[in-house]
Amino acid sequence: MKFKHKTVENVRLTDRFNTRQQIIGTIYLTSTHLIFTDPEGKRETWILHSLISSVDKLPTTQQGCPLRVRTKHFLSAEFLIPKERDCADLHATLNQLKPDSYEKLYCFLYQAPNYLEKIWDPFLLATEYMRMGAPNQHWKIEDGNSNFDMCDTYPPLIYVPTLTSKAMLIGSSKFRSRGRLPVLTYLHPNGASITRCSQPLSGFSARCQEDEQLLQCILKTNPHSNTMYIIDTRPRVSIPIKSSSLRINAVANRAAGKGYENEGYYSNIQFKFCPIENIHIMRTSLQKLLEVSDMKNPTMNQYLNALDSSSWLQHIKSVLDAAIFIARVIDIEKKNVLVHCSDGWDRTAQCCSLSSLLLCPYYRSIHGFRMLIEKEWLSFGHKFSDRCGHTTTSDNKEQSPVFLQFIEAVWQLSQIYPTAFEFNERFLISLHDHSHSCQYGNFIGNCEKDRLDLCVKERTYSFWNFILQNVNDFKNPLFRPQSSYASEVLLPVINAQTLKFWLSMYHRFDSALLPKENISNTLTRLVDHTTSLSDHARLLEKRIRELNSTFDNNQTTTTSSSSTTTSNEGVDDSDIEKRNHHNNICLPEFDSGLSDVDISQARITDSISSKLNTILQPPPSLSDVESGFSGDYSPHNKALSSSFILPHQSSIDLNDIPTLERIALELNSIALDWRSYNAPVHCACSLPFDSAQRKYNCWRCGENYCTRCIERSIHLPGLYSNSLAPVCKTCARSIKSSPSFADFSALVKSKSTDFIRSQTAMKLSRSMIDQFINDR
Amino acid sequence: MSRNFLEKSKIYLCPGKYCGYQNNSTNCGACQRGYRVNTESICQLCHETLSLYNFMYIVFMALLALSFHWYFINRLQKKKQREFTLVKQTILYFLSILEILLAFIFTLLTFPPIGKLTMNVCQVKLLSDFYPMFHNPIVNYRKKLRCSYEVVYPLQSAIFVLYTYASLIMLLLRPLFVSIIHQKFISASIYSALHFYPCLLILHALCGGFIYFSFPILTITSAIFLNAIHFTLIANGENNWISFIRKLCGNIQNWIIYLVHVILLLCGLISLTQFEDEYHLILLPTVFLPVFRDHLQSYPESIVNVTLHNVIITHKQSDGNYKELWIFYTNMDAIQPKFPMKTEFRSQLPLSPSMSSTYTIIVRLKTLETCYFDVSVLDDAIKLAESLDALITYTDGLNCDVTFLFPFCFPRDFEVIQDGWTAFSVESEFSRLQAISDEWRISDVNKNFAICETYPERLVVPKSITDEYLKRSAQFRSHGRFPLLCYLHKSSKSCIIRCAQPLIGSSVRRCKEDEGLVNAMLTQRHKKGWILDTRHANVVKSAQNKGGGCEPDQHYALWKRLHRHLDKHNVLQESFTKLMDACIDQSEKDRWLSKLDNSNWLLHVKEALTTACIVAQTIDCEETSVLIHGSDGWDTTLLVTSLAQILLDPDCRTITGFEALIEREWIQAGHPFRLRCSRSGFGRSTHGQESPLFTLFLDCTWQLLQQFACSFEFNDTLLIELFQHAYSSKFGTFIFNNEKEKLKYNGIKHTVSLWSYFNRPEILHAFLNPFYEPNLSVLWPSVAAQSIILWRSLYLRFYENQIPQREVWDEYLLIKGKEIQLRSYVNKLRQELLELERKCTEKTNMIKTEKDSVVTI
Repeated sequence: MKFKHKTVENVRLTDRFNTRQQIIGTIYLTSTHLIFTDPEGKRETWILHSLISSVDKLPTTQQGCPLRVRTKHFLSAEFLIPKERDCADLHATLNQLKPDSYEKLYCFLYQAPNYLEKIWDPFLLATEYMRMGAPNQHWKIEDGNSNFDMCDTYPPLIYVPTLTSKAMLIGSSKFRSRGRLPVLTYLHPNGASITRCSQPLSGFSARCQEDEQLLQCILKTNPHSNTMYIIDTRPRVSIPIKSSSLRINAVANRAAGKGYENEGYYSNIQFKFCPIENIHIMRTSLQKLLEVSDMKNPTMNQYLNALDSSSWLQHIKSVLDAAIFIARVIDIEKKNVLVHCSDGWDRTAQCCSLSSLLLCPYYRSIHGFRMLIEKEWLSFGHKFSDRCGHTTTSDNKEQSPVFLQFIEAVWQLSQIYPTAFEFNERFLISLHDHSHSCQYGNFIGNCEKDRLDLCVKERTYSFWNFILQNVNDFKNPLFRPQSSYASEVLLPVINAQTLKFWLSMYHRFDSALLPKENISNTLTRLVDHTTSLSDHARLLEKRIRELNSTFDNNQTTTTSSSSTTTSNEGVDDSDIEKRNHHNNICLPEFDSGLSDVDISQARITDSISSKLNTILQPPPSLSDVESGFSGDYSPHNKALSSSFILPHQSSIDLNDIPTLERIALELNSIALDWRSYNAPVHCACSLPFDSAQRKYNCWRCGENYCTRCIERSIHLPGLYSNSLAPVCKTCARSIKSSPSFADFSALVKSKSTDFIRSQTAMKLSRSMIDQFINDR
Repeated sequence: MSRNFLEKSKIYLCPGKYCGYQNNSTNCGACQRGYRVNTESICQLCHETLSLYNFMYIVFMALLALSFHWYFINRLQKKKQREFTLVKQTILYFLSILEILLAFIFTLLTFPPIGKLTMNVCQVKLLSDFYPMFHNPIVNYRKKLRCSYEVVYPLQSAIFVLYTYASLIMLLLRPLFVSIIHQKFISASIYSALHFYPCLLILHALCGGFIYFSFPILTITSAIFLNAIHFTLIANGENNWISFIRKLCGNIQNWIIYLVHVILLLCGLISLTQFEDEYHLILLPTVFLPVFRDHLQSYPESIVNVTLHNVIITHKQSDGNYKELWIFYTNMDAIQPKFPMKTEFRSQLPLSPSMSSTYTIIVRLKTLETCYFDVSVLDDAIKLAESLDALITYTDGLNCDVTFLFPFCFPRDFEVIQDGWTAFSVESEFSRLQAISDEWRISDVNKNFAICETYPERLVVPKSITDEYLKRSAQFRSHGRFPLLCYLHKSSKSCIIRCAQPLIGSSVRRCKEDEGLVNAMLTQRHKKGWILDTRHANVVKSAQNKGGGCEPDQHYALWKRLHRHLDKHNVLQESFTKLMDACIDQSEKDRWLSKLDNSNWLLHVKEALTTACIVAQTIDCEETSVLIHGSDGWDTTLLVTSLAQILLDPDCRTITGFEALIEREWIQAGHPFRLRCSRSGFGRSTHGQESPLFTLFLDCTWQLLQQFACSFEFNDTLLIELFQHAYSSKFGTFIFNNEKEKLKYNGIKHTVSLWSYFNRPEILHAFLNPFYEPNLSVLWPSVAAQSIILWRSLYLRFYENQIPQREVWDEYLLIKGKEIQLRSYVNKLRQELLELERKCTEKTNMIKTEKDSVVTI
C-alpha cells in the first residue's frame, strides 16, 4: 500500500463534550495505525486501521476540513485538517486501507511482543464435552463430519444420540438448512441437554423421516421427561388471512425453504417462539444507538427518546429472555431443548451460549468463558468475518452486532450478579474489540474450516494467550467463588427496568462522561496491594524465623532449631497448597499473639506462621495467580512455573544469615502504603490521567504510573515468592544500581535461569498492551 | 436495614389491654399511677397536656355538683319563703359557685405539674379505659393477672379530689355564713350537700366512662329540656307572648336561669366539637387469618391489628415464634382495593396465592414498598380498606395534630451518645465561620420568631449590619426571609446567600436596608455578585403582579442576574408519581424508557445539578458571591444551595458534615417537611403542597456519589435511610414544618432526633464508605444526559433482587479490611524484625570477636 501523506500537521481534534476545547496535534499514518499526537497534553490516540469502520468527509468550514473517523470500538474522532487536499488524501487513503482478502488481515502482519508466542493451546472440543459428561450411554461421538462433508460449518466431531445411525444423520442434514443438523451443545448434570441446528427446509409440506427420528432419539436421551421443547428464536410469522397478496408472500417465503417444523409430524414436542429480530434489524438498531452517543450534548429527553427508539435494550432483553427461558426449562422442567433460528449461527449461538452461562458456573470463569466462546461461537461456525466486516469481500448487509449483543447480555448479567463472574468488564470489552481488530487469529474467517484453510494457528497469535499473560487485568476483584451466585444456576428475573445502558462500552473514549472515581480500579489496586503485602509478610516472617534460629544457635549451640524451622516451612507449604484448593479466607486478629516477643521465640514464630497460613491467601509459589502476572490456566505456563518451584524454594538457603544491608534492601523494596488512584492528576511522565485509564502502583515506591512508565522486570528482594513485580522505571533503576541487588540477582540468576527469559518477556507486556489495544 | 417495617425482636406483648412492663421490670403487671401502657406494652409517663375536651369534662362534673347545690338552695326558698330573702339566696348561690371554683382551681393545682393551672393527662381512647378492672386477663385460664390502675389518669381521681375539695370548702364557708346571719335553716343546704356528694361520687365511680363520652350531648339536651321546662313554668297561665316576655324579663332570677341555660348549651356545643374520637375511624380492629405479603415474602395466617398509629401484622414464623411487622399510617401512601381480583391482574402480582376468592388491598407505602393484604371475606376487606383510608387521611391532613403522630409516642429505646437536637448549633457553625472570616456575628433579632417564622431564632449576619436593618429588610422579603449567609468559601471568601423573593410588586418598590444588607455580604476583592433566581423570567413577571418579583438591576447595581428555572410543587410531584408508576410497571407492553423519559425526573436531576455546578463555578472559579432565591426560598433555593455546598465544601461530604448540611440547609432553613412529604410517589395530592424536593436533593447527591465514589464518607445506605425517614419516621427530625413549630409542640422534649439515632457506632458503621479518601478539591461532576442515571437502589429496591448487591458490599468490606489488616501486620513484623536484627548483630559481633567464622552472603 502506498500512502500519499505520512504526516499531517496542525490538525485539531475537537472534544465532543467540550466543543470549546480543541487539541492541536499531528496525525501520523503508519502501516497499521493512525496516530494522533498532542504535544502539549502528551496524549496519543492510536487507531488501528482494521478497527476503522467509516471515514467521512464533512462539509468544509472556515477553519479547515473536518474528517470524522469512526471505529468499530465506538471511538468517534473529528479531525479538523487545515488543508483540504490533505483531508481528501487522508480520506482516500484510509478508505483504501480495508483489506480485500483474508491474507491481508492484520493478524498475519502483527508482530506481538516477544512474551507472546505463536503457541496455541490446543482447544479440544472433546475435553469440554468430557467435562459435561459426554459421551455417555445416551450420547456418542460421530466423526461423520471429519472432512466437513456433512456440514462445512460444523466442527469435525459432533455429538449425537447413541441411538442414531449415520443414514439418519445424513438424511437430517440434508433436510436442514446448510446441513446444520441437530447436535449436542450443552449437557446439564440432570440429564437435560441443549441441541442446536438450523431451520428445516420444510417448505410447504415437506417432511423428513430421518429428521423426525433424530428428534425422537434426542428426546429419549433424557430419562426425566417424555417431551421436549423446540425453540424457534425467530419472531413468529403470522400469516395474514385477509390480505391475499400478503398471504402469497408468506407462502412464497415458505416455498423458498424458510420454515419450521410442522407440529403434526413431530410427536411429544412443544413448540415455543422466542422472538429475536434478525441481523438487519439489529444492525439498524445499533446504528441508531450510535447516533445516540454521537449526539452533542443532548437534553435528557432527546437522549432517552433516542435510546428508546433505537430499542437496543429491548433486543438485548429479548435475547436474555430466550436464554432464561431455556435455562428454566433445562433446570426446572428438566426437559431437552432444541434451539434453532434460520441458519443456526446467530441467534442460536446467542441463546445457547447465554443459557449455558446461566446453567453452568464453570462458564463464568475466565477459562470456562473461553471454552464457551470456542465451542458455541467458533466451532459451530458463527460468521465472524462477515458479521464484523473484516474484509471488503463480505457484504455490508451481512454485518451485524450479534457477538456484541452476546457480550452485552453477559455484561447485563454481570451487573445483576456482580460476584458471580470471574472476569470483568475490561475482559468483555477487549473480547469485543479483538473480534473486530483482527490482531489475533481467533476470530478470523467464518467457520472452523476457514481457519484451518488459512493455517491460522501456525501464522498468528492467539487471543487467549494474550488474555492469560495479563490475566490479572481481566479478573473481577469481586468474584466470590463460594457465593451461591457463582456456583449455582442463575435464573434472573429480567424486566425492562433491569437493563442499563452500557456507558463504559459505548462511551469509553468520552472520559468526561464516565464516573470520575472508579471503584473497580480501586478494588483491583487494593487486591494487588494485599498480594504485595502478604508476599512481603511471608518473607519477613521467614527472616524472623531465620534470625531466631541463628540467635538460638549462637546461644545454645544446638542445631535442632534449624531443623524444626525447616519442618515448619514444609508444613506451611502443604497447608498453603491445601488452602489453594478451597479458597477459604478468614482473617484473624493479629494483635493478640504478637506482644510476647521476648518471652519465647520459638512459640512466636510458630504462632506467626500459623497465623500467616490463615491470612495469606496466595501461596508463595509462582503458579499463584493473584501475586503473579502469569496465568495458571494455560498448561504451557503451568509447566513453566512448576519448573521454577523447586529451585526457588531453596533459593535462599537457611544458612544465609541476612545481613543488615540485605534486610534494609528488602524492607525498602516494598512500599507499605500505596498512593490512591484518585489523588494524582498525571503520571510522572506528565501523561494526564483520566478516570477510565488503568493505572498501576509501583510496588516499591507506591506511586501511581501509567502503563508505559511501569516495568515488570524486577524481582523485588522483599517478596518471598520471588515473582516479578511491577515497578516504576526510576525504582527499577535504583534497585538495579544498588550493590546488594547485584548479589541478590546473581543469586536468583544462578538458581533459575528460566526467570530471565520470562523477565524479558514481561518487560514489554505493559507498554505494548495499551499501545495496541486501548489506543490511547 | 432497608426494610421500612419495624421488626420487633421482643415478641411477647403483655396479655390484656392494660398490663404492661414497668420500667426495667420483666413481669407484666399494672402500671404505676400516672403511667399508661403503650402499644409496645411498656408503661409510659402521661405527658399530654389537658385538652379542651378533658377540661370541659371536669367543668361539667363541677357544674353537676353546682346544679345540685342550686337545686337544694332553691328548695330552701320554697320552705321558708319569708325568711329567705333574695339577697341571702343570691349570696348562697355565689357561695356555692365560689366553693366549686376554688375546688376546681385547687384540683388543677394539685395534679402534676404541681402548682400550675393545668394537668398532664393520659389520652383516653376507649370507654373501657375507665373500667380496667373488667379487663384483667386470665393467663392460661388459671391465674388472673391484676392490671387495674387508673388508666385515664387523672381524669378519674381528679373528680374525686374535686368533690372532696368542694365539700371541705363548703364545710368551711357555709357554717361561717350561717353563723353570720343566724338562720339555722340554711344549714339544711349543707346537709343536703353532704348527702348528694357521696351519691355523685358513686355515680362517677360507676358511670364515669359513660359520662365522659356522653357529657356534651347530656349538657345540650338537658340545657334545652330544662330551658323548655323553665319557659313552660313561666308561661304557665300566660296567654300571649307579650305578657310572657314581660314576665321573663321582669324577674332577674328568670334572666339568670335563662342565661345559665344558654351558657350550658354553648359549653355542650364546644365540647362536642372537641370530641376527638380517632377510634371511630377504625371500623374493624382485627382481621384474622388474611394473607399478608410484600414483594419478598408471603406471610400466611397472619393477624392484622389496626391500631391508632400503625397496622400491626403478627405472623407465625417457621420456628413457631411470632413476629410483628408494623406499618405506620404516616408511611402509607395510597390504598388500592382490588375486589374482585381479575385474573389477568393476579398473574402480575408476585407470590400470588392460589386462592381464588380473595380480596386484595394493595397498600403503597411512601418508602416505595408495596404490600398486599389478601382478605377472604369481602366485608372485612371493605372495612379494613375504609379504616386504613380514613386513618391515612386523618394522619396526613393539613390540620393534622402533630402531637398525634408516632414520634410523640415513640419511647427512646437506645442510649443517646450525642443528642441530635443540640449537635448542630449555630454556635458551632459560627466558630467554623470565624476561622475563615471575622466579619460576621450572631444576632438574636429573630427572638421568638419575631421577624421570620421560618428561620431559627439565632442567625449569623454581617457584623456591619444592625438588627434594625435586618428588620427592615425582612419586611421587604416574602415571609420575612431576609438574605442570610449559608456558605463561605475558604479560598475565595465568596459566599452563597439565600433569601426569599423581594416584595417589589408592580410598583417596583425598593428597600435601602435590603440593598445595604446584600451589598455588605460581597467580598472585599470582587465587588460584584450574581443573583440566581430559580424561576423563569416569565414566572417572575407574573409573581411581580402578585407583589413579588426579582431584584431590579438599577437598585442592585453590583449584582448581575441569572434565571435558571427549576420546577417544584405539583410539577415535581407529578414527575415523581410518573417515575414510580414506570418503576412498578412490570408489564411488557409499555415501553419503560419512554415512560422514564415521560416522567422527566432525570431531567429535574440534571437541571438541579447543572444549576448547582453553575453556583459552584461562580464561587470557586470566578470568586464572586451568589445570592439565590426562588419565590419563598424554602424549596428550590435550598436544593441549589445545599448541592453547591456539597460540590464546594469537602466537610459536607463527611457523615457529620452531611447531617449538619441537612440540619442547616433544610430543617433550620424552614423546608416544610411535613407538608412536602405527606405524599410520596403513589398517592394523590391532598393539599397541593406535596413535593419531593428532598428526594430530588438526595438523588442529586447520589449522582455525585456515583461519579465520585471515593470522595464521600458515607454510602448510599445513608441516603436511602434519609429518604425513608423523611417520609415516615419514628424520629422528630422531619415531622415539623419549621423551627417555630418544633418549639411550639415542644418537639425537642417529646421526640427523639434522628441524628441521635444515626450517630451511634453500631448504626453509623453501616453508612461508612470503605473507599473514602478525603478529597479537598471542588467536585466537577458530569451533567451530560448520559451521566445522569436512575437511582436503582432506591426506586427499584423492592422490585429487584438486592442480595447480590449486598454481597458486593460485603466483598468491598472484606477486601478493604484485608488490606488494612495486612498493612498493620507487615508494619508490626518489620519492627519486630529490626529489633531482632539489632540483637542478632550485637550477638554476632560478640561471637565474631571470639571466632572468625560467620557466614555472610
